[in-house]
Amino acid sequence: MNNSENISQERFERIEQYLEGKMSVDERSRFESELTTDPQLAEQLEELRVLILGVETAALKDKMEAFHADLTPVKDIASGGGNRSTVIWRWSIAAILIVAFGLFWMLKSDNDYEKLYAKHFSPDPGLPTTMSSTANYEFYEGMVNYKQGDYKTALSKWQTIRDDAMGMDTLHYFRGVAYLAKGDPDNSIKYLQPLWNMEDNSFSAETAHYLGLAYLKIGDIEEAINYLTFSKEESAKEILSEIKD
Amino acid sequence: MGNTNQITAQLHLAEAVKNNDELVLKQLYQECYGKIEVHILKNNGTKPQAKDTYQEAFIATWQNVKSGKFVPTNETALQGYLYRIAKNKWTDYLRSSQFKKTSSIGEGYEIPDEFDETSTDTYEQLNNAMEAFRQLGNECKQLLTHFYFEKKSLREIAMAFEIGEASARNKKYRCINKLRELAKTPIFKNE
Repeated sequence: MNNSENISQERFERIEQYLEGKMSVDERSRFESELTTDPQLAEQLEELRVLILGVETAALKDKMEAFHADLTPVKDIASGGGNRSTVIWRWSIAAILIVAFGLFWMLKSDNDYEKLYAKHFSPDPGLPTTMSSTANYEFYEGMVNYKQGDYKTALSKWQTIRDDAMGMDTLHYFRGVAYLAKGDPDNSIKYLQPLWNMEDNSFSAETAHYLGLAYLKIGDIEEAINYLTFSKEESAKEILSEIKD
Repeated sequence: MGNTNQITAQLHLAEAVKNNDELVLKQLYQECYGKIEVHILKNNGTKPQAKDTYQEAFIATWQNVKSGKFVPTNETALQGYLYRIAKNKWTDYLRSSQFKKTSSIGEGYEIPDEFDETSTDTYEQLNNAMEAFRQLGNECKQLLTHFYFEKKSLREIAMAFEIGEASARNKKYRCINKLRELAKTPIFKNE
């Protein structure tokens, strides 16, 4: 388009008001009927529409860089995953570990594992709750309780959320962690286990971490080691080496 | 109980996205990124590719919410929509570069790449506009961002710049003219 003509300030501001949806109904319909008879106006409208969208998009790009740099540790886990062969490879390592440390588990009492669990369990710090007033209201409400350590209330608020209402993995993940934090490893496993088996799970490393801890708490060391091997947490490594000792 | 609440929450979310509510955009961005990254890493991608693909999808989602092309319904949550666009973009990428249009689609649900519905012409013009914006002086950049992206009023902008409201208004007009000029001279664009 080659409309190098000058757009007067008055005309520009009218077009802008139209684009920004700031016109009254009357003004709007007048403007729209002018559009049909004044091709130059239509052309200028299109030019300004693209320019303003460009301004907004460029601004959004800058913002996204900031959002990205500020991804919370909760999200930084995402690098988990890996393709099938690395998964098999990791399971092999887990299997070797099981064999290698097999003897030692038998010598440990449940009490030791319980202590080990208590020493190393800390709940996921949770998600930022800035969106509480707008979206996923119940989830973020529950998240506030969760962050305050009131897992019971958090869980009851999350109980009513439908699975497909939001990222199902997010919901199940936090349900699982909350159950564990409130001392109920069995229910925790009920949520975390299927999550772990899911294809697109954004929390795979964390899921493995808490699954491992849940099994540690109930004294199923074999499974605990299995899962903790997939965790990226420092504490998981410590647990694994303490189980060894 | 969930249904009406959920849909209302989704409508609020869409409205906030439309208004460029920064907190909401940030929350949405961060909430959905991990899942996409996992998907792309699992499918022969790298972290930088995951980031680029996701950001393109995020922009497409945002534009479609703004233009009213996407309206949340019962089944389609915004998060899911964003996820699908990103996934499709990655599938397209894989097909174009590595798989040379051979293997057929594996996933059950495919939506057309909404972004590419915009004609190449408009797309180019938009890129032009963005490039022009980058070449603007800082003051104009800030002013236009405050006004068009952050939806601040002229009064707020005048206060931020410590000038009168009338001169903020004139300045905005001058900045737009500068932007028009830059967008018309397609020198050194290319990103």
